[in-house]
Amino acid sequence: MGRCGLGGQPVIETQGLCKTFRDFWRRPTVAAVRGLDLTVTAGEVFGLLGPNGSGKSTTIKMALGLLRPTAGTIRLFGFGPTDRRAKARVGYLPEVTHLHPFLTPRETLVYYASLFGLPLGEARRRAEELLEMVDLKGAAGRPVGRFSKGMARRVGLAQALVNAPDLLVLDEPTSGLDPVGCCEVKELIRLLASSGVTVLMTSHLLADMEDVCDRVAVLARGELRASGRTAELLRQPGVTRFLVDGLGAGEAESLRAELEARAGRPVCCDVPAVRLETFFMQVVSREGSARAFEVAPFLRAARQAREESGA
Amino acid sequence: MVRRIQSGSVARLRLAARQAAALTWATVTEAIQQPLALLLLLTSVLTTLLVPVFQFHRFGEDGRLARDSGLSCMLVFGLVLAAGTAGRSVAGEIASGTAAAAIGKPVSRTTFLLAKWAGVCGVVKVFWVATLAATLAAERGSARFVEQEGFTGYATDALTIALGVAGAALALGVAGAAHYFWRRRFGVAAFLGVALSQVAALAVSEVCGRWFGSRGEAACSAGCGVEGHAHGAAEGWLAYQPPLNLRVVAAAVLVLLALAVFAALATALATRLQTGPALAVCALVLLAGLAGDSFAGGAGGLSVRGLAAGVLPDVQHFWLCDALARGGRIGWPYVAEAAGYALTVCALFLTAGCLSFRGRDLG
Amino acid sequence: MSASRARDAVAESVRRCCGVAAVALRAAVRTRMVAALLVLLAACVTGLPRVLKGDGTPSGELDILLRYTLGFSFGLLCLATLWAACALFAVEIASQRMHLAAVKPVRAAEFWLGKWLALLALGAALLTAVYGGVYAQVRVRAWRAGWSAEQRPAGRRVARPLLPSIAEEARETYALMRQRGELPPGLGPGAALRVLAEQAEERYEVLNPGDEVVWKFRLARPPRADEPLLVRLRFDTEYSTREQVAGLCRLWLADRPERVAEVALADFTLNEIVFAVDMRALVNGGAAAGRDVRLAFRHQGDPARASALMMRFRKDVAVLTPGGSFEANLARSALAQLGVLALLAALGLTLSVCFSPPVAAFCATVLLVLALVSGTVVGAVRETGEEGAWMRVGLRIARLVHDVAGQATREEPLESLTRGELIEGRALLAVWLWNGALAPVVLAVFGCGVLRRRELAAGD
Repeated sequence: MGRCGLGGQPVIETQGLCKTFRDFWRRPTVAAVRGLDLTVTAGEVFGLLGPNGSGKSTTIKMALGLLRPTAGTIRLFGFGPTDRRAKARVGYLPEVTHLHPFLTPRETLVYYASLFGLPLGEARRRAEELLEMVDLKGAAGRPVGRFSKGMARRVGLAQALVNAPDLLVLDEPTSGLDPVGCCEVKELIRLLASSGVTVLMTSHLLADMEDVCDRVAVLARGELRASGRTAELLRQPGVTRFLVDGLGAGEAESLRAELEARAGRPVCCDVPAVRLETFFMQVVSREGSARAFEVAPFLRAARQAREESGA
Repeated sequence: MVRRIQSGSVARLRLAARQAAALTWATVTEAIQQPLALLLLLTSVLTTLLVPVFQFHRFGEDGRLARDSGLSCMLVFGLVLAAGTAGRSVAGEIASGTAAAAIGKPVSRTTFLLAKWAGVCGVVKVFWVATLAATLAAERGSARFVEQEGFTGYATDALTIALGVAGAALALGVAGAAHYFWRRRFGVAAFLGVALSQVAALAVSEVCGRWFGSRGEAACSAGCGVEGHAHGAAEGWLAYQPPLNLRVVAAAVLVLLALAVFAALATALATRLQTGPALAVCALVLLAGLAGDSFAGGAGGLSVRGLAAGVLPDVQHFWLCDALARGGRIGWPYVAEAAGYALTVCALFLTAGCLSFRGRDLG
Repeated sequence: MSASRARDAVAESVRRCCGVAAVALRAAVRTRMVAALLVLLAACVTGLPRVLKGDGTPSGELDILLRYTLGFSFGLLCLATLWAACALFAVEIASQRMHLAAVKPVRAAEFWLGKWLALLALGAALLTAVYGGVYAQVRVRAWRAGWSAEQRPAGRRVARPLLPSIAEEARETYALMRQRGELPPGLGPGAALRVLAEQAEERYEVLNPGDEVVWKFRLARPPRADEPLLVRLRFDTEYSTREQVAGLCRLWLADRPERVAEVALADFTLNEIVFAVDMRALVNGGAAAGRDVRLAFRHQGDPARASALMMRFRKDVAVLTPGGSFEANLARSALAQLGVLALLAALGLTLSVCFSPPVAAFCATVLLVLALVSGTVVGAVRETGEEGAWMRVGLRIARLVHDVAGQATREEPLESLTRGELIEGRALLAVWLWNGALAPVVLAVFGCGVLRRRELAAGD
């Protein structure tokens, strides 16, 4: 870890951010976000957690200029959320990927690249590299409308990366993906973050958030309830765990008794289990179903450029 | 044993009827909330009511023009409403997965589709009632040439038209207030309100007419002699209230039957097509049906034209406005025969729709 | 440095517009909308000339091909363009596809322009197909029936009689009526001038038997000896009855009044009488010195039996000179119609930003019907007069719509095409300035304003 505050520059800043939805008569109906103060700094992976209707997606949509705040301010790279200079540096994967159903993935990516003003040749090159990265090269000529949810999600992720963004906003990035896809997305997020890309993400899968987020904020009923570094928030103060490899059952029992005697309270001693995700990935990689994940070359180049400029 | 089988099938029928009723009700409430439904209803009612106000060429046919315009609005806007509602409630629900959720319950596809058709017909019926009331009001409100002592010229029953327009405006106002104060759904309240307002306006106009008539009798004992009006000598104005032309109802019932046929066609088409193409096909069938004689006149049964004439519904059976001209009437036995024909065509279209829907993937 | 940056910015903007346009075009093609339209248009272009029966003359056939077939196809294209435009933004917003595009650095105007250009390109392609189909049929019919050079369609320049302008005439009449105290009470000067201008355009002049009238014309260029002039006249009577027209037409150059070409007329009222004048009789080889021409008509009907003839000088008299080819005129007509499609596309797009797809389509259709009906309403009121407050309100709305829509449809390309009149470049420019530039810009500014202000997403 240790990526938090890599550049130290605030990428997203909100102050007293409020969003109240109104009915036809302009009367308030739902206060979706109430007085949110958040700062996401460059290079960190920031997670927004919260139950349904807690205001996560609304916050993201306000940050992207799709919704207008009722009160408070929101700045992206120091600009307003609708400023084109800010938008040029952002990649966005919405909660549900609504793509043009009649376009092929290649055309979809070229289209979104053209919206960034990229020349056609460059757009095509990036599209090919991204298709390779999300493992859709074989389906590049089929219309997106016939894709499964997971495949459409991959196209969505690819379009979010087409401009080699400095800020990646991911709303439920792993939803609809199989475990291999989930792992790849998490790996990608880690890789991007390590190259200085700031990531703001939401997810219901807390394990995913725990795996990749440097910092998290917990929202409930539109209010910020907790925030901080993930490791610190999850730490159990006063509890110590030992992990020993190759210990026999008898030795373990005697050690436990020894510790109990010293601590004067019960000591838990068990055989740890790997996480189901790790087990699944091991099985899949043994069978050869998992492929080596590689970041698109243009993203690597962008990373290099970022690192050089940082140095 | 036989009794058990009978009771089983009765229970199944009862269940299907209950399911169909629930689906129909959901279709109606969903459909009348759409802004387009309200816009179509308002356009139809206001166009019908305002035609007599903006008529320029008078050859003593103002009433007929108003009546024909009203029935045309009923057919054209009704067709768009039927096709739009069918498209939204069948094609739209298939696309959004709502249909799959309903079919996932123990509801047969046939029940689903028939209930959708019934729902579309329900919406069309409300629309029909409103437009019929507006048509009756418009014909009554049209200028007529009156010759009597002290007045010779065109007289207009402005009160009936004003009541209709005011009724629609009031219904919208009430729906707005219901939405503001009690958070009722505006679309539902406005659609039903506008329809009810037209019937109420017609009833009020009729009551007013009778009241004026009763005053008129007393006043006219002085020797005026023109039917259905009153004039107060002291006020110096003339209230003119001609009787309602209820002969229009039979023609309107025929139009309703045509709309039921188009609702069935649109519902069947919506199992495979989106709203736009379904509407386009319905419009083509309407045109072909209206031009049936010139299109398929004298065509052999085995020719393409003959085949088309056999398959396409003959809309001319349902469009008999000219029969009402010069005091003509449409007999109810004819309407009953036309209803039989309409039901047969509906059954054909719905059967085709059910077969098409049976093979449709809902995933 | 700043110039190259500006060039880059423009190039990026063009790429964004092209990207948006390309997706809109692909959508149209892949959703089979274009295929369905092509089938419909092909049925129209090939079917209508077979179904509609002409009078058997070449002009009758041209009437069916150019006026009805092109007119009907254009009507279909208008509706298709309008409704497609109504769906473009509205469907993207409703289906949330707009979320992905709206977070990219694209200006609202670039979205709008891209989609408008796509509709324009589609309209141009379909119009080309329709015009190509009709042109092929004209050529085939002309070849099969062996139409003469005069029967073949052409694009001729039209010279109208030199008369005071309609505004001048209205002002003069107004001053005269005011002097005589004949102005209707309660009619303001603006309204009176408008009515008088409308009347001036349609005013009939009466020619009693024995009367002669002389018109002055200024041609676009001096007449040539080898190019015959065409004269077109149309007569009417008080009750629009069909009567015999017997008269003598004389034509001469203003600077050489001694050489006169005479043509005796024996035709009927309500007919369009067209005859050619051999200019070799008036011009000594090459071209004449001046452009001014005089045309005289003497009513030679029997004073005892013949009816008085009536003519609208502004509409019923014309001298036609060679101007251009039929092909060029066809292309100009297509361009003029493309201008109307451009306006409809702009209207549909702006409505599409404001409303959901069906409501936008409904509003667009209502506006289109209002624009079509408003002319009839205004014309009917001109004949019958205004009555009552309701009618006055309705009439005011109708006039407003008519004035706005009238600008868009002021040029009637099919009418000119059918009558063999050259569609002037200036008129075409005026059509495009209004339909293709000014009105779309106004609509685009409004549409982009709404798009920028509109929240494109819902909450959680």
